[in-house]
Amino acid sequence: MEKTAIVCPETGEQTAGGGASPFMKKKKSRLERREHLIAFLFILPPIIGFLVFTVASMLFSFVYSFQKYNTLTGASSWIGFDNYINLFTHELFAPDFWNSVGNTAILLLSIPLSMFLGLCLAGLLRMGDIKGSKIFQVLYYLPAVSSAVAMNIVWRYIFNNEFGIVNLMFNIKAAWLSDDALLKIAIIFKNSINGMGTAMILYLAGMLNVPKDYYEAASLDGAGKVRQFFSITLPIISPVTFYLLITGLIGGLQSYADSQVFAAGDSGARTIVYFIWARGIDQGRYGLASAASILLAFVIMIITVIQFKFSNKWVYEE
Amino acid sequence: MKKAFPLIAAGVLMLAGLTACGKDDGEGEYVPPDAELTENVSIRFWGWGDAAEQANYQTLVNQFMQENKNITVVYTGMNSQNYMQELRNSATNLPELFYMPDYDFLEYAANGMLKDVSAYVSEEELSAIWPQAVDEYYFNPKNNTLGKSEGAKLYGLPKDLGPFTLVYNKTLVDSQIEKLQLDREEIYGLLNPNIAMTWRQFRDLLKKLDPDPNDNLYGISHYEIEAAIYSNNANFFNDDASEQRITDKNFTDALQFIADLTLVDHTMVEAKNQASTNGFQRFLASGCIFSFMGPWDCAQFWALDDLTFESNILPVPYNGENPDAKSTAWVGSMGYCVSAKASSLKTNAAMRLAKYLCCNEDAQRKFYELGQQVPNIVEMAKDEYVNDTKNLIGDKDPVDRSVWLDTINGFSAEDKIGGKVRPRYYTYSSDWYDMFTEYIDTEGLWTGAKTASQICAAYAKTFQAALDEMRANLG
Repeated sequence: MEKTAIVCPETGEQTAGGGASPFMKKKKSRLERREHLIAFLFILPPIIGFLVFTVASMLFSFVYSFQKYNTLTGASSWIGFDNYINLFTHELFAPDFWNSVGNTAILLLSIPLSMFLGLCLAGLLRMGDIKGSKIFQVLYYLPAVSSAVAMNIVWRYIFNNEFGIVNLMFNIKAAWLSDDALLKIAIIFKNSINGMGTAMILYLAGMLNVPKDYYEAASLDGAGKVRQFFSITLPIISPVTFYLLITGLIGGLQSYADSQVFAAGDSGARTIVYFIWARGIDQGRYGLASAASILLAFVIMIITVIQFKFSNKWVYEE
Repeated sequence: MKKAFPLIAAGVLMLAGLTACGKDDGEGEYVPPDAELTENVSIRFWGWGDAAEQANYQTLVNQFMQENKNITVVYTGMNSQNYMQELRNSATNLPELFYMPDYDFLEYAANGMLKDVSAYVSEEELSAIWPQAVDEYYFNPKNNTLGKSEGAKLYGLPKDLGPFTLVYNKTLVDSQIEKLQLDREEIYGLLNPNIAMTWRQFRDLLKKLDPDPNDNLYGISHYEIEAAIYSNNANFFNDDASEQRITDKNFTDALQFIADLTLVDHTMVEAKNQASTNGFQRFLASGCIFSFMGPWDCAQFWALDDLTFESNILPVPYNGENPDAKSTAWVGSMGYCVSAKASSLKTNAAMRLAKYLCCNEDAQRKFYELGQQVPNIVEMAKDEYVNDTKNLIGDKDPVDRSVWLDTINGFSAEDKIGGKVRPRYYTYSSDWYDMFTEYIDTEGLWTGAKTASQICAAYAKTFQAALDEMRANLG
């Protein structure tokens, strides 16, 4: 039997006949509706979690940021943009806020460093025939699966001003935990070491997916290992770099444990999130904390959008 | 309209039901403060402390429930670091009874979070406990003033009164005397529990006992800012905390005295090393000869099986060159407060528990036996506790517990040893204190980058702004 073509009256497109028309609204069967309902129920808990703990919290924060809020009585009054203005100008809060902004920006240096170290390690493990490379992978990745608080406590011992391993090893008396500059250096070093395991695993996975033909072809053309790395490997694993950069920046801008646990609240390592906790939550200035939170969310959003916008210029897509 | 009718009727009935509850807040008939409790009641009680303290409290709460069969107490012990945050988060649904540190009392009282419990305690009951401790929990909501005065009401009972005084490692002192060939009589003449050292004497003593700035032993772990400021007859602000006093010479001299212990004498742990190791932990590890301790630290001392040294306490040193100065340590306190929203029935039950913990002889005896506090009951503290007449403390340190009593007691001008409430008690919030201590730290007072008078002069305007902000919040 010859199949007849069905023509869409609006677009004039043709499709093979013999079945239900794709242009007709298909009525869902009871079974399909039931399946959809079950699927929806499965995804309902995370949706509720997202709505309650993210969307609702952000909305509340947004509202509170324009209010003076008494945390004990729950009474609030509208004060316009005062909380935002106070963040930047009030003599009690502005110096600390600016200090937190500066510290957060400096501590972000650990992101490219950890990516670079992770890339080097992945390259070594991929290129060299290293015995026990799996053990190295596990060891380097260990900090990524350990508790941030526990890790910070261990690092605090390592950098202890008096009896820390670092000072004892180099026979110096550096005030890693109290000098503002040294404290930042210690945190950047610590985060670079802690973060390189994750970068290494992801880069290694990316490298394993690069087709061998490319290297063979490049070899035939006379490209050396270094040239191959920069011209083939690095561009092809650029999506991993992009992913690490985005998640690293978001995580870095939300850093808190470094200030609270490692630096024990020292002003030399206070981040924006620590400021939000200390000046806002701990001291009961919810309005001020909310204003800082909204600004932080806005900055993270802008940075992420910019990164996505320019990603097509350097991120490899098949 | 037909559909709305049952709703309206239900609402009216509910309102009528609530109104029928009398003058209380919906938890049944109004129960007068002096009424005997005949019905079963359950109350929540929040406190803080380490595991040992929490266990002690649970034991006492169980004992209380044994004696008050119809009262059920659900005790929740927390970590001291998280406690106030938890309490603040639960502000709309506070437990019936809870700890309230003195430095947060004003904020909670001024915001109407605490119940006036004046009617639940008799003058006779109050007269048995330290009057200065009771006075801390009086507040006048009409003019927002603290302390017992005309129109002030009682908003809590004191849990304790804790003087924070000097402590020394006696074993280390003895070994240094022997090692450095020092005059034993001269050294112990200064370590006198009844006569406080002057700053000059203390500095000289530290230099004698810790002459080598390069070894691992320090003279003193740190110095309590309030102990120096109060002991030079200075304060952070005036009586009603409306004007800053940090630029007063007595104030800056006190700060400089602390800084010079490190910068000039090299006998105190450098600020950078104080940041990495807690002073009391250093003292426990015999890393320094002197430190500071309060009665609550005894529990920690006594729990350490491997503690290898003897210790004793002393009054804090004062500036002998200032004729108005006397040895003055800070005295901390905590209150048992009742939620303003608690019904009369639950308030009645909560206050029975509060009075049991605060005034009951057995409970107070248990507390001092466990090394948690100086007894609230004055007579018990003066004799039974100091002289250990019931032999409950034995040979545990410190021997000269009278120093704590002298510090609590010494409020008159004639007393040469005394104590004073922490300055944060007088203010609506405590963040001014954190900001100030951070500022002097970052500006380099402890490293000698700037002098105390330079730093205080530079910070005076900001400090005044912090006081103004608090007064504005207080209303």
